[in-house]
Amino acid sequence: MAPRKLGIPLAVVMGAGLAFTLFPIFWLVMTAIKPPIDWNASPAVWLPSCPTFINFLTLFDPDAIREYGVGGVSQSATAAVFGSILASVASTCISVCIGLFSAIGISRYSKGSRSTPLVILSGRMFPPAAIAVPFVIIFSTVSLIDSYVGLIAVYVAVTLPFSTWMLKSFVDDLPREIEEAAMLDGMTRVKAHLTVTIPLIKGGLFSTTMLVFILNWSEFMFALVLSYSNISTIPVQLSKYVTATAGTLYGVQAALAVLAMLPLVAGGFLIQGHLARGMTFGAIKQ
Amino acid sequence: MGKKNAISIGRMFTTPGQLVSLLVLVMPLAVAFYMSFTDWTPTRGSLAQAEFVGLENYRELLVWDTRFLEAIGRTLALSAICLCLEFLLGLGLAVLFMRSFRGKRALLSAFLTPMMVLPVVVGYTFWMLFQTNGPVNQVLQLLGMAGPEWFKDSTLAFAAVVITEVWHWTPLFFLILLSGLNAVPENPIRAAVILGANPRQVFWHVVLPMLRPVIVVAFVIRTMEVIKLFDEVFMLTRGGPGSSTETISLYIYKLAFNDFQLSYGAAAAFMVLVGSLLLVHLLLTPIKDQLMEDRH
Amino acid sequence: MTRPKLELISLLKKYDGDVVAVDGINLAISPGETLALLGPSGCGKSTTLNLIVGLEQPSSGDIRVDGDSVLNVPAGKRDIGLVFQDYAVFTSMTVYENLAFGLKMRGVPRKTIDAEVKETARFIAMDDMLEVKARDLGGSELQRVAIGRTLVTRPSILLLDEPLSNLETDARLAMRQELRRLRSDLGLTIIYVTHDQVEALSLADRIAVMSDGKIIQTEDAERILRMPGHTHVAGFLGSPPMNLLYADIMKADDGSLLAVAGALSLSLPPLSLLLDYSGGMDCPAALNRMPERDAFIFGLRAEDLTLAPRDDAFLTGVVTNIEPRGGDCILSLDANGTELKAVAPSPCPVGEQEHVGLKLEPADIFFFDRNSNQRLELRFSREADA
Repeated sequence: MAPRKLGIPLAVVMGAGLAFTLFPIFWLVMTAIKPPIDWNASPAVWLPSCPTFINFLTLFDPDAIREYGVGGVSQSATAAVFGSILASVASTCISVCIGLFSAIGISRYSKGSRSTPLVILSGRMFPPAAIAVPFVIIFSTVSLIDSYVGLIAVYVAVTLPFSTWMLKSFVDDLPREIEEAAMLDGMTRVKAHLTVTIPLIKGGLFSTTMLVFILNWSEFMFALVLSYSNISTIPVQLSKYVTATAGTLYGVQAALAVLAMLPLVAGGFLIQGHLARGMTFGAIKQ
Repeated sequence: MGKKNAISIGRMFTTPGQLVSLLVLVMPLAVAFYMSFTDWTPTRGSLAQAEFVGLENYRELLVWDTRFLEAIGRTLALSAICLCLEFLLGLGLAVLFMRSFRGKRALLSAFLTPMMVLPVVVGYTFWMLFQTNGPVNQVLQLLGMAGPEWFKDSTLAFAAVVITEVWHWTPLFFLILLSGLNAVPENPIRAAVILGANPRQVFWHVVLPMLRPVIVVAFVIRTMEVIKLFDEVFMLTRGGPGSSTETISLYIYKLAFNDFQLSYGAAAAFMVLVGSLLLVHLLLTPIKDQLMEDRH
Repeated sequence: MTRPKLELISLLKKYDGDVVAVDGINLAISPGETLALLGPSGCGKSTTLNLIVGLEQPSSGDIRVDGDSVLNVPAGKRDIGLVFQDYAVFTSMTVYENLAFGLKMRGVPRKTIDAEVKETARFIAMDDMLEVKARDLGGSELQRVAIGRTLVTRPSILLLDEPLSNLETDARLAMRQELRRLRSDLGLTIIYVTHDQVEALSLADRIAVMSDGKIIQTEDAERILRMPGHTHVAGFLGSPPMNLLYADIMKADDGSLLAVAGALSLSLPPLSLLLDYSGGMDCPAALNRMPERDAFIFGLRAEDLTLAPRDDAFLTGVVTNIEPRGGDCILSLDANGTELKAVAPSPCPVGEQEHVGLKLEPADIFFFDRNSNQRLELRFSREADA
C-alpha cells in the first residue's frame, strides 16, 4: 500500500514539533556568537547584534577569562578540552577492545552469557552517585583520585558492559559457518576470529565505538567527583560556569557547549542507522 | 580441534573483560555494600575501623528520612510524567513519519538531534531559555502572559525539568517506535482493512498490539535512565528551590559529597537499585512470553 | 446466460514511472464459479486481487459486482473477502478474537458475533481451539483461521492468494479437499491465485492464464491443457510443458511440405491435408492462403513424441538427459541443435548419449502465429495416414 501523503494540517503539526526541537539548539548557537553586550540583555536578543567568534577565542585565553572578573572561573577551557579528549578517546579504545574480545567469547563460546545481562542491567541502573562513593574511597587510598588514569578506569568499567553487549549483538548476526569455513582452510580458531570475524563486523564496530565515545564524552558526574584541580573535562568546566555568579559568562559558556556538542551531533548522524540498536542495547535491530 | 581447546579459547577471550568488571565494577559495589552497614564517614579514619551498625542506615532512610522518601516519590512522578509525554509525542511523530513527504531523511535527522546533545549542555541551554529575561518568557509575553520566575517557584521549576527531559528524550521514543512501526508487517493491516476496519480501528486493534514489545523496550530503557536523572537537574536547578526538584540521584550525590555521609548514601543507593530492578522486572512481565519466543 | 457475479473491464494498473502491473484485463465470472488465476510470480496476479478487493485503485477500467461498479466503494465494504498467502492472522489475538474481528469492526452486537463465530469455528473445525493464541498455531490452522475470519463476514466473493503454497504436502492435500467442500457447501464465487497448475486444475472450473499483466487465455480447466491458446500457456502448462519450435514451412513443387527449425528439418504431409478451421474452411482455402514460405511456432507435446525405430521416425536426436519420475521418464534430446523433451516408458529403454528416433502424429502438431503467439486454427488431417 502506498503510504498516504502528509496533509497541510499535519505538516503544520510537524513544523511546530520541528520548531520545538530545533529552537534550543538555535538559541545555544546564537548565544555562542553573541558579543558580550547581547549576552544577558533584557529583553533577550534573539539574533546577535554583531556576530562574532570572540567567545571561542576567549575560552582558550586565560588572561581574557580573568579579565571578565567572574569569581570561580579563572581557568581557560584548554585543560578541560584536553582532558575530555584524552579521557574519552583512551577509555573508548580500551572499552571497545576488551568488549570486542568479550563479545566474541560470549557469542561463540557462550561464556558468561547468562550473568552478563544482569550485570549490565544493574550497572546501568545503579545511580552513578552511589558507584562514585566507593570509587572516591578506593582511589584515594591508591592515589588515583584527581588523575586521568583513575577517570579512564572508571569510564572503561562503566561502558564495558555496553560495548560488550552491543558488539555481541553484531557478532551474533554473523553465521558461525563463516569462521568454520576459515578453520577448515587450516586457520586456527583465534586467527579465524581475528582475520575473519572482526573485519566482517566493521560497521558494527564503528557504531559501537561512536556510541561508547558519546557516552564517555557526555559523562558528567564521575568527572565531577573524581576531579579536583589536576584534571578536568568539558562537562565539569561547563558546570563551573554556572556556579560562578549566576553564569554571566553566557557567550563563552555557550561557545564551549557548542564545541562539546559538535562531535556528538556529527557522530550521531554518521551512525544513524545503528542508533536504535545502540540506544536499546541491541534489543531493536533496525 | 578439541572441545577443551575451544573452551579455553573462550575463556581467554572473556577473561580481560571479566577482570576489568570485577576490579572496577564489582569490587567498588562490594565495598559500597559493606559500607552501607557501617556508620563510616571520611572524618572517622579508615573504613576498616568503622563501626558495623547493621540495618540502621536502611531503617533510618525508610522510617525517618522524609527527604529521601520525597526524592523517591518525586523521581517516580517525574519519570511517569516524562515517559508518558515522551511516549505520546514520540508515537505521534513516528506515525507522522509513516506518511510520505519530501525531505523525510533530513527531517528525521533533525528530529533526532536532541538525543545526541550532552545532558550537561541540554541543562545549560534550558537554564538560559528559562531565565526570567529569557526567550521563553519573551514568547509568553507576546501571548499576553506575564513571564514567571521559573526557578523560584517549585511547580514551575519542576515543569522546567519535565520540559527539558521531554525535549531531550522524546527523540529516543520516536526512533524506537519508528523502527517498530517500520517492522510491522503490512498484510495484517491490509487484512483488517478488508475486514472493514477504519484507520483508527486498524491502529488500535492491529498496529498497537504488534508494537507492544517495542513500546515496552522503550519504556524499560527510558525508566532505567530517568531514574538516574542527575546532569540536567544539576545544571538547571541544583534540586531547588528548596528540594522541590531534587531527584534521588541528586539527593544521594548531596549526601555523599556535600554532607560526606558516605555510608548512609550507599545504603540509599542500594535501596534505589533494588527498587529499580523490581520496577524493570514489573515492566518486562507483560512481554516476557514474546521475548522468550524471539529467542527461538 | 446468468448475469456475471464479477466483471473486470479493461482493468489497468500503472505505477509511478511506467511500470504496468495489470495491463487491460477483461474477465467475467459467473456466480458460484471457481476461477484460477494462473501464472508465474510477478505476472500481476496479486495486484489484480488487490484491485478487486479495493486495496489499490486501478489507473483505468472498471470492476463490477452484480453489474454495479464498486470503484467508489472502499475496501471492506465491497462484500469481497481476501485470504493472504502468509495468512496475515492477528498473532496477538486468540482464534476467537480473530474470527470475531470483522463483525466487531462492523459494530455487530456481541451476542450475534458469538453465535456467528461459533458457527464458523465449527465449519473450519477450530471450535475446540477458540481460546488459543494465534501465534501458537501451526500452518494449516492459521490457514483455516484466515479463511474463517473472512467467511464470518459472509462475503459473496472470496479471493484466495496462493492459499496452499506455504503448507506441507500433507496439509496441502487436506486443505485442497477443504477448499472443495467450502465451494460446494457455501456456493461462494471464488477467485484463486496460484502458480501451481496442478492446484489450478484440481480446484478450478475455469483457468485464466496470466502473463506480463495480461490474461492470455481463459478456458475450462479441462480444455486448457488439451488446447492451449497461446505459446505462453503452452510453455507454462503441462509437465513437461509443450516443446515450442520456431519453424519455417516451405512448399515443395510437388505440394509436399518441409518444416525447417534451425538445422532441423522435418518432412510434413502434403499441403492438401492441412485444414484451416478458423472460418470453417477446409483444405483448398488453406492451400490458397499458404504462401511459398511461412513462419510458425510449432507446438509438440512431449507426451505425443514417442520412441520409434530410427528409419521410421518423424525426427531423430541424441538423448542428453533422462529424468525418471515413477510411471515414466522424461527424455531431453538434442535434435540437430534443437532441444526437445519427450516422454518414454519406465524403465527407460534407451540410455544417455544414445541416438534415437521419435514418432509424432502430424495431426498432433499445434500451430502458433509467430507474431501474436496465438494458436492458429490449423491442423493436419488425421486421415493423412489412412
